[in-house]
Amino acid sequence: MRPSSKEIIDGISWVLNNRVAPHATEAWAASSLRSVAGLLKHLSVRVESEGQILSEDNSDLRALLMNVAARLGDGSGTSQWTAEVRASLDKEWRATGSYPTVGSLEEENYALNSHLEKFMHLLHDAGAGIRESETTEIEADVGAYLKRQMERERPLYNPPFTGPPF
Amino acid sequence: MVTAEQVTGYLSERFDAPVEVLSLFQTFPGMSRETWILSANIGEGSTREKRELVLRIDPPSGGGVPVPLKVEWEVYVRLWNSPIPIAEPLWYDEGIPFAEGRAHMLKIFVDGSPAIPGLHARGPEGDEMRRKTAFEHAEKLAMVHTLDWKAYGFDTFLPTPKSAEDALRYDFEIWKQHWFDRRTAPLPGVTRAIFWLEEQIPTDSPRISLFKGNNGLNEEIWKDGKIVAMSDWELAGLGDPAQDWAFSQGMLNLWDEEKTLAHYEEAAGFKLSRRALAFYKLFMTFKAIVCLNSTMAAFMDGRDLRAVIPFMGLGSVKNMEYMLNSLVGMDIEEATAVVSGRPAVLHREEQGLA
Repeated sequence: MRPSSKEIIDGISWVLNNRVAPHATEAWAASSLRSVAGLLKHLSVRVESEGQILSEDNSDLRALLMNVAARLGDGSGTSQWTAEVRASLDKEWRATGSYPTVGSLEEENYALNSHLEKFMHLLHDAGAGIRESETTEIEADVGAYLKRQMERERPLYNPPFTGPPF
Repeated sequence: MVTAEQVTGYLSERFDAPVEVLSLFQTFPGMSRETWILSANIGEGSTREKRELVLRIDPPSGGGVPVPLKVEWEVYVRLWNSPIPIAEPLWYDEGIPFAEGRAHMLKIFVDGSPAIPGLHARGPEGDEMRRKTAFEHAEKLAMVHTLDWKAYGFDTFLPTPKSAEDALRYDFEIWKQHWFDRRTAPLPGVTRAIFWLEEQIPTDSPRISLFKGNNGLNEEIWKDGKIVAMSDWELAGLGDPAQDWAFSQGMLNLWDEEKTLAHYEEAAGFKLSRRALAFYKLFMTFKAIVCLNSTMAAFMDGRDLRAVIPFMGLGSVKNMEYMLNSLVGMDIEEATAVVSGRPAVLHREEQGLA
């Protein structure tokens, strides 16, 4: 469909910035427009990249969690976590061959991030019963993944949210 | 939002007298809570009196900080009997028809302004104004930090650390719990930053003080070069006093930082831990993440649809997560120096706080 969603969003931004903002002199109205401007910049990037970012992040997270689960095995301190991760990795998040909707990618991403966060708690609170040398390697893997994740998402937030928020 | 008609009806009932609202406006900015300044004639005949009042109301989201307005009210009630300059609190209420049941409090308006004329003037006169402003703020903060909080009963309603040594960890645990209870989605990058900070919590706090939590430029009411009312106590607590300097909204950049702190220390009669100050400069970013992200629940369920909520709750939070993760692995003083060494405006813009 043309114009694309991005083109329409950019058009709305132009109208608000050039036709509405100069007349919105009341402080709260002008403030709301500044917030809306940032959100529209974000949506302009997000509408065309969200699916790909989530898809890449899910693949990356799956590889990380698989690696961590394999290293942990079925150790007593982490057996429940490992079982939950395996269930998520085996889950069919969408029917085979169907279009991967953003909603289904987001649902999968939320679950995988929850597992990672839970593992970070296990590692932090009790070392998860892992050898120290292995802990260092896993922490490095997690740190490297997070760096990739944040760089992948970076265009969604910077520059869109770097101006005045209100 | 509240209307003049609603305020008229409400105040008439509470004052049990006729009320004529002459003016009513919401101050700008003010994202965490609504502040309305009103002028009204109250009473009739010989008892008629013109009063300037301030209404502070929770937004539909229930507040931009994880502390109820009732707590801020209790702070005001106790401070009103102390030497700390504040606006006189009149009453607190919630769960009544006014303002859709939202929590609110009424105070007497204090004549003055958050703006300080001449503060950004160039040249020696501007320099002197900045020095005087920083020193006045330092003296008032010293008053807050040396207040006998036990005598005023602050420990009866504020979480109280067991010792000065424990003060920072105690505060950190409270905010860590707020984060994991209230965050709108798992953010492993924030988790990583929390654990990095947690490993370096200083234990050399000089004392347990009442702290203001949210203070500095544009937060207090000034008149003729003096602070006439310390406002916005929504994040007040008991703990290490260094955090008020870490979150002083540019006050430490106004004049020479060390000279300002030396003036404060002379007035307070104790030394601040510079390591605690460095820690708090980073910890305050985490506190901001908690406040901004937790408000988004109200946006997502439709209770509070202000555009600023996702801007800051998503955008600013993701930028702060990125910034904190770029520091993970460093010593906190080194990390603070990295952040402080960059232009302040850039730092604030990255966080969406400019």
